[in-house]
Amino acid sequence: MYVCPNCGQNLKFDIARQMMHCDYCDTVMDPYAITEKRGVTEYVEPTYTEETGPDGETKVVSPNAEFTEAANVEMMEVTSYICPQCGGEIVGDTNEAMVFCSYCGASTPLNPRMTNMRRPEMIIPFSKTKQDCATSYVSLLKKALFAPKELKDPKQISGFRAIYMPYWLYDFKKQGPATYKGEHCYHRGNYDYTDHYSITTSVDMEYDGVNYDASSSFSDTLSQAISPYDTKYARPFTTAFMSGFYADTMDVSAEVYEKQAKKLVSDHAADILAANQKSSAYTIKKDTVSNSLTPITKNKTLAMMPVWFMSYQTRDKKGNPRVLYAVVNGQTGKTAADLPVDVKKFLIGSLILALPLFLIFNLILNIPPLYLAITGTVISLICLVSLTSQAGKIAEREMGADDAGQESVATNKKQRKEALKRRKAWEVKDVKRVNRPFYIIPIVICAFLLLLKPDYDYWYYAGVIISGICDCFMMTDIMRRYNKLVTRPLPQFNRKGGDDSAEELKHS
Amino acid sequence: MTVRKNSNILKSLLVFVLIFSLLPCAVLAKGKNDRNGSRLSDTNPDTGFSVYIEDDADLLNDSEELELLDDMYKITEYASAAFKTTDNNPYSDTDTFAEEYYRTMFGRDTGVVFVIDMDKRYIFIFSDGRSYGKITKSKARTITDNTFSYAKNANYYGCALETFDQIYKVLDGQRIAQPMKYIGNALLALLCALFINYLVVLSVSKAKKQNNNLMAQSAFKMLNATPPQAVKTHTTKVYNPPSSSSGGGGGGGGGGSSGGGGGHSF
Repeated sequence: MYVCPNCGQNLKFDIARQMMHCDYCDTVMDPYAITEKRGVTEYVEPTYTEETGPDGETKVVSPNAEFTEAANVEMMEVTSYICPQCGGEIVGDTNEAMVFCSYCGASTPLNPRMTNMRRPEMIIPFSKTKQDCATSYVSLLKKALFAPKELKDPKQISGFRAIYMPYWLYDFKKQGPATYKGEHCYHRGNYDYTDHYSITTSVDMEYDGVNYDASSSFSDTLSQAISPYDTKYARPFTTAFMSGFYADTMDVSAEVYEKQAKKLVSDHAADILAANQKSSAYTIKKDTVSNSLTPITKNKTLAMMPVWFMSYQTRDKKGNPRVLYAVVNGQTGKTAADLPVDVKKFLIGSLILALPLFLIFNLILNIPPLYLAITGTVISLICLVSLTSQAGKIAEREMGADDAGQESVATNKKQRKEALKRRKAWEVKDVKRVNRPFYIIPIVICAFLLLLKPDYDYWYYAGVIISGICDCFMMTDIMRRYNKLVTRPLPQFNRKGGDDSAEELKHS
Repeated sequence: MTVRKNSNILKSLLVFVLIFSLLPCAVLAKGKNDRNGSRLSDTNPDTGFSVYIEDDADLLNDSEELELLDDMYKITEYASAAFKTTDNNPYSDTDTFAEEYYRTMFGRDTGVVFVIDMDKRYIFIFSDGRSYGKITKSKARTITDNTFSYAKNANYYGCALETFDQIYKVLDGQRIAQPMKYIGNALLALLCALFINYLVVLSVSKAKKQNNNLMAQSAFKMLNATPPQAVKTHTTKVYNPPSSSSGGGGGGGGGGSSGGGGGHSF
């Protein structure tokens, strides 16, 4: 807790002012003017070195002597709160009691403890207020026509919590020759000729601040959906920025996403090179360009990024608890959320949409009954394929295999192999759960109609009605499974954060 | 006595003369009801449109043919009409047979043809010219949907009568019952609505991974490259002779077939 020098109350970082602010005496202070050592707040006069940023405007502040000293410290002591239900850990400097867990959505008092966490080097302070966050979230919900009304509950929306998420910022560079392949194809006589070229160029490229989240409890799908952060605005870390906010701890090593980040950069650079050489006599093979541009890592920096985070507990059809998250990028306001579908709303919405479609079809369509039966069957087939393909994705989500960070901390190599086996088995079981005999009915009916070609249309219409009913059931099933896909099982963290990380760092 | 007898003869002669002189007028007023072999025809002198019946499959008796011709006559207000039955269709389908018959009878003029094909057990309506604007493929299908059950029950006269009645109603701008169309469209609309909403859900509700290009672009600082030096390393070749079956240049397109229709098996 940072103490206000004027009244002794708590100083918090104020998003609108981008300064430390005391709610009681209205004192405003520079975040770099305060440090805290062993629970004692110290005030220093910050000195800045102004630098012109890449856009010609950005004022880059370099820390003063006090701050530099603090920055050299690898670990910092924080109060972390552990959820007794999921094991999720969140760091907070407030004295307020934590009564709900952001990760599993459980309303339960979280146990505080003093712990050490690795000190980040950079931070992007929150620039979007809770009001901005709520506005972004509400505008996202407006587009989600079939989202359950509980999600739109203002009380629910007020549950957004400002959390600094740990991110790895990768700086890459490549200087030197890059050799890739190109070819020129032409036809002469009875032969197709291909001239193969080896192309060499000298490149000098730099990418700074490719960001990937460093927390296993922050889903990759969500973190990547609200990416990227503009790291030009990252500032040297000081704990003052975290005053009044929560933070997650880093438990994913920088190596986990490094390869992925390099690929991202080399693909992007390859695109630029390929675009510049479009007019050349040969076409270049993009994969070889990308491989030749694999950069080296200049820096891996741990940074704190602002995220507005909300969790919501729900239950599936069988009554098992599920959790869904909504996140808002605290810098850009970009929003992403797990938005399930209210099946009732979906069906009613479909009936409403069917009305204008019916009127339009009456003006332009008079499909012969056989074709109608075939159309119904094609839709059934699409639904069936969709249902089956969902199984793989659900298996990935249930086993946490769609999150490289979560996978990296949860298992070692052998365990990962076993997890993959388990996932495959789960997937097979899940595919079997799809009520295929029932859903194959429309296809069988259509086959019979095609074979027998009855004269009376009633047969076709009966077939279409049956396949329509099957399609409706299938669509409902798809929606239920979709809900399973967008919600998550309650997390069970076996985190190596806090003191464990400290221990590891000491030994390394 | 002789005078009275002469007077009776005169009266009879006058009646005969009157009848013979008025007969052409009656024919002119109603049109000419003509039988030429198996073809029965009638023409509306006001519009110039004609109606024909060619019952080659001998599905109707003479009185039914005359009654049908009489009933079809009202169609001549808008178009020519022909009813054709066959039990020997040389074409692969009734559609072609009906179109060929139409061209023979009316060329590209305005008209409607209704065919009962006993060979393929199919009924078909073909129309062209101005009447195609109203007796569209969809309408033709609707009419045959409504009337095929007569043919199914071997009531060919009823089938033709009802078909031409509905054709007349459509040409006259009246409404005809199309329950099957409504049932089919309602089902299709429901299925399409479910499908569209599913796509809406997929596009809006799911958290999408950020575009990789955008991720990299946000971190992009600089990329300088010298002009590339290309060195040819080798050449490969694959045997690919010109296709021997390639044809010459295509000729100009034909006039294209206008008109169309719809039908139903029975």
